[in-house]
Amino acid sequence: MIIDAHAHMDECPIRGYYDPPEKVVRIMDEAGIDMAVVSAYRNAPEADPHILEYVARGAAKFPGRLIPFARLNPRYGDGALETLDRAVNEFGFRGVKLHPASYNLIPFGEATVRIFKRAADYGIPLLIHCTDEGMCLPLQVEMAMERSPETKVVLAHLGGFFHTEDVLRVCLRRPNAYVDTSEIPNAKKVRLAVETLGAERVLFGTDLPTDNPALEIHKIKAAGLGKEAEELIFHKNAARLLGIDAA
Amino acid sequence: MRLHGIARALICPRKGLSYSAREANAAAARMCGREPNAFMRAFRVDPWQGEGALPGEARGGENGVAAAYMNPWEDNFRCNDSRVFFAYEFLESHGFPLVMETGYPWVSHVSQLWEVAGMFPSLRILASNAGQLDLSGLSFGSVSAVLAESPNLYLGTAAAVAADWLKEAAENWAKGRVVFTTSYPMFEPEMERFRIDNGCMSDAAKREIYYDNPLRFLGLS
Repeated sequence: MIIDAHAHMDECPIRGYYDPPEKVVRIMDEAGIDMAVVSAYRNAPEADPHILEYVARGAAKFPGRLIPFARLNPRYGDGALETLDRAVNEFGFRGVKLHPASYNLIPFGEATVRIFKRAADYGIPLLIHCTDEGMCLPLQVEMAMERSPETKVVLAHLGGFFHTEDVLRVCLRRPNAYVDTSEIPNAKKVRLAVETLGAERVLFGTDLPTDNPALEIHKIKAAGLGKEAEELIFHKNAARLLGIDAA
Repeated sequence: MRLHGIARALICPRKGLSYSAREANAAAARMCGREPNAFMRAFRVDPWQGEGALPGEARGGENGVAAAYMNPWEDNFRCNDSRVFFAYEFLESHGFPLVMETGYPWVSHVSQLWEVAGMFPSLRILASNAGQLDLSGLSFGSVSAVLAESPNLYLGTAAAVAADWLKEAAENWAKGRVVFTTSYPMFEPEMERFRIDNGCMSDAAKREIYYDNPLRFLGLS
């Protein structure tokens, strides 16, 4: 079984993205992925007031396959919190997605930390883009975690090209921190994460449809981790984090 | 290389402990001498060495230099700093293609390469790392625009994480200029082979990436 902890579903012509749920599920089927966490490319609330509905409807079309996360823009202050409340209470979203490079705010500022705390209140994980760009650095995210230690945070992309060591040290210090394996093209870094943290906090991710999920799957296998670790990474860790009975 | 079906590789010298490009180039020459059928070499140009930075030997020849290599990040220069233009003038006039370590902030953003490519239109420049080291996805638009406008810019495939984008590069806006690279040891030959072998571009495009385009970039076709 494979649960993809990091995927996308959205139609955003201005950015050149056309990834409706049908396309996402087709790609999942081709790659052998059973379930995927999906968030939009666009933040909410922003210009389009119906992003939540779009993601919710898309996930509802494929019950048991798509797990919706609410991608938010903390710049909207109370509006962002209200959007998260709607997402969880009205539409059943299972987590939060943040991409600080898209809205240009430090993750440890009050606006974002309020979202971290609300996620903790709901008991839902927060997936955050965490690579080499300013506003997205692992140590910056850790500063947010310091201010909201109850939040379960998935630091995406294993710290990017140059910040893997940072993200692993953050995880060593923060028992509520996880990493996902999406996009970074190094099997060795996946192996390093498992050797450093154990396999229990490493989540398989693809960032599909942008990235080739077959390559992402191959990367885990090429890391040579053994069957038990692969099962944790490919589905058990995500199922536990999301409270899913994957069977 | 043999494990992953790579027949030949262009060796771009790494920065050694001595920080001497001369020593790095000498090490690469020795390596190529040991495996002449597997390796070609690029001459590492550290522009802060002035005229002494430039390759003194002609292109080609036995164990000769196939290209030049510049690393603005390690050698601490902006690739579009006018003080390094003397290197581009030499390389352009002597027919050396140039591998440029690309995607590093402040020193080798693809927009800086765009400027250099425009100033030296006969200089073939390969932008490594798919023109960007940016997992936010926000740089792909810049790379595609620059490559589309600059016929002397080539695109290395290592770390080109966006599958459809790479297909479009190979089949449309950079057709004939997408070159298989691994950027080993920063990235992994197994993964970079997988990226192309299992990519969504046509078989013809894959052949171009693996064979025709590298030869074109190196001036060997």
